[in-house]
Amino acid sequence: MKAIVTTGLTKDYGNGRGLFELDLEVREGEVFGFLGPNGAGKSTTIRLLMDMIRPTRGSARLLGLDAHEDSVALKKSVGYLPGELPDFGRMRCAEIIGYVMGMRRIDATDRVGQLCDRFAIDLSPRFQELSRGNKQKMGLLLSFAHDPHLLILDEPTGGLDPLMQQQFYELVRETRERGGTVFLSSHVLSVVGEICERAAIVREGRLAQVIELSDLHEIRLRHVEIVFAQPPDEHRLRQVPGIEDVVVDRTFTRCVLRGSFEPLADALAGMGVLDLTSHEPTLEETFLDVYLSEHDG
Amino acid sequence: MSGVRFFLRTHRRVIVGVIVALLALGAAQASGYTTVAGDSEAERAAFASESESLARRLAYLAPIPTELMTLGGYVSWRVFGALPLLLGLGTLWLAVSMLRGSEDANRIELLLGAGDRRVTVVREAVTAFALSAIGASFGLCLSLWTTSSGELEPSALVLQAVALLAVLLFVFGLGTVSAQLGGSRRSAFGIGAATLFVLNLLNSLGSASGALSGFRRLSPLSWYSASNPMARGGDFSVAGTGALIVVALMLLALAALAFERRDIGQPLVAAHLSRRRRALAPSGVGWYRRRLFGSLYEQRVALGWWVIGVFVVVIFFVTVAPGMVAALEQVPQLHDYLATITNGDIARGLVGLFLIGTIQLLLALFAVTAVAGWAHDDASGRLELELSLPISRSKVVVRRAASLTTSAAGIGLVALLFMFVLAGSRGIEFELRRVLLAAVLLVPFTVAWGAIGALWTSWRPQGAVFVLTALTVVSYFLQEVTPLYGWPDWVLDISFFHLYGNPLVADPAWWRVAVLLTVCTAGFAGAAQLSRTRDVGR
Repeated sequence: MKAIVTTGLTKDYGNGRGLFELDLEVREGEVFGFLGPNGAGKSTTIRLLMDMIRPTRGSARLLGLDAHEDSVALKKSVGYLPGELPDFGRMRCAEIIGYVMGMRRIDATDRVGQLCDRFAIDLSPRFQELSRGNKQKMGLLLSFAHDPHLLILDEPTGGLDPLMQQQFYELVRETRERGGTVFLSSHVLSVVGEICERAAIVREGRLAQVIELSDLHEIRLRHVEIVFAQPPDEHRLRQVPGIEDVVVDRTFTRCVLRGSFEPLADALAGMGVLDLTSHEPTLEETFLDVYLSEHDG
Repeated sequence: MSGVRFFLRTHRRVIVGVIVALLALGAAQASGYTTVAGDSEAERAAFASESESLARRLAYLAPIPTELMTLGGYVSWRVFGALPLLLGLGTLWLAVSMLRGSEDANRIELLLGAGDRRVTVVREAVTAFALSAIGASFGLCLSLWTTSSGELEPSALVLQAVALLAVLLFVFGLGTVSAQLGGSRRSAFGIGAATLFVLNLLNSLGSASGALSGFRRLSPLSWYSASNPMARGGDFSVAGTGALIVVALMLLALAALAFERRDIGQPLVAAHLSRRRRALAPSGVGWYRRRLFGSLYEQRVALGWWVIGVFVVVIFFVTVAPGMVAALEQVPQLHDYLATITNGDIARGLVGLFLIGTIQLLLALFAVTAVAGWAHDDASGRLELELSLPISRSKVVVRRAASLTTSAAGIGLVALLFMFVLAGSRGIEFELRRVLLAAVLLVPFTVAWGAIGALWTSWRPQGAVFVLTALTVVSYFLQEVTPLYGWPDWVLDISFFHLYGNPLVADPAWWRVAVLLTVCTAGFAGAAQLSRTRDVGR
């Protein structure tokens, strides 16, 4: 059974804004990334799947059930993290969890305790006293607490520090191991690259491409800047697999690296590297790179 | 100057809406005077006498009029007399919204981040308000002048506009101070509104009751009432207007000082974060599992404050009733009216009429705040989170209706039973049967407002509070002015206040109760239906 199937899913806000003709399939037990720059239609898709907004045309099925007609039954098995958590004001975190658990009519005290330990969450403060990162951790706690079959997460790593991001990745892997499906949106390529098996790239409201994780590693490129103690062996650098656009200016070198970092690291051994910085390009740059190279090809 | 433009732009809808409403109010009152008061001196004298009786019944809301046989006196009362409270509440909301609301939305941080000093932010907000108030005041006067066929003196209108500006500046100053004291826009508005209500009560009751006249001058609103340049023989109080401006400037300086001293996002007196043991378990699950009780559990503190509020109103009315009876006995028409409907027991009639009227207003306001909460749930994403749980949209509407019904029943019952006991201890006896009936009937009265709010919120959450508040004000005044102006009965019957009647002193008309129940049912049923088709969220 497919965890998510959308057929011609469209939400037309006018002026070319919205989501158009989305045909997508997410397999059960899969971690699926939904990539796109800001305003591409990621949150619109997620809100259509959750039946918060109604499609102009097309349909969506989740876990074999219609997203609109069976939305109440469906949500027993779905965990949802919205793009922005609601403002719970002066409610204490323990009450917010109590509210969600009570409304779900489940007792998940043990699971809540485990997740609190894992994410270093204290449920005693009021919601308005929390930092952005702690609010995001509360959101993750709310979406994972009932061990759902399907998780729909909108920008789940926003505001999390690197340590908590690792905890989140681990939690997603555990969910997949017990057969759960995770559908997550992000505009950060590395987040999807870390945990997803497949990813869809959406741009200007339209599905541009669905890629396997291995493809993602291949298309993943990085801008690298290196400072050497002495001018480097430029020929040796240019021989490194995946390296492009090498510019050497005395002891400073700039290049683009595609794929694994390992061959470059091997080549740099013994070359007297004083400093090395590596930046991930924006998703838009990556997307344009893939999109243009496909069209050129 | 950019800050002034910022405040004007972010509040432009309210500002333009108020100015348009004032223009319409001015035009309607001036052009309708002859229609309601008549042409001859005798007709106008009779009208003046009846209106004065009405005004005495509303003495706790607005000052008592003089010279109603002239257009100037009429406009002074009907337009400028009620504005300190009605426009004052709007001004208060604007002040709180400009400073505290913008702060809650992190917009003040943007201004401060762009290099503005805090005192500059306050100054820019005041400037934006002053520009709007000047437009509103002089627009109203222009509207009155153009529709009065020259009957109103332009110089008197200008002086009245200056007095109005002074009192609005004072209320704005009060709002800026409240914005420093409250922890959120809502609590800041509550602090300001309560203060304004007390000041208004002090002014109005001081003018109606000899026993309270000594306290009247403590209220700056009485300094505004001292100016009456449009009535025949009236005067413009330079001292009163000057004092209002001085106090307003002092309040603004106080607000700027408090703003300099406090942390952004915190009230002036902020409680330290409580040291609590780390919690790892949910709380209140049992309450939330029974969904109706979950709503009540969540509102427990607010409900407590509402109960305290109605207790204060009950204590106030039962305490001042004997003094007011003495004052009102000097008005023959009202004495006869009260004596007729209460079989001679005027004190009982007074408490019954005024107290029930005020509790009705409070419960209508309670329904408005409930609707404001529903609209906020939609805007803040709370509804979206709720709908991500296995709950249908119809059930959300049903839960809201049940929560409002239970709360209204609780507040109404507690208030009236307290009144029954307190009034009894002071020798004002009510039948328990009538008290219970009045409490029960307060439920459909309150829920009917909620039903209209739910219907609007399900269709379009933005503007629900504004529409419901406007309906409440219109409905309240319809029951007061319809008999006076001889409008048809069906006009009276569209007022929920009239549909409720006054079960404390007279048997209710059951068909009117049925109308209220129909509104409740149809409103929430329509809301459930509309909610099923609407897109939810920000």
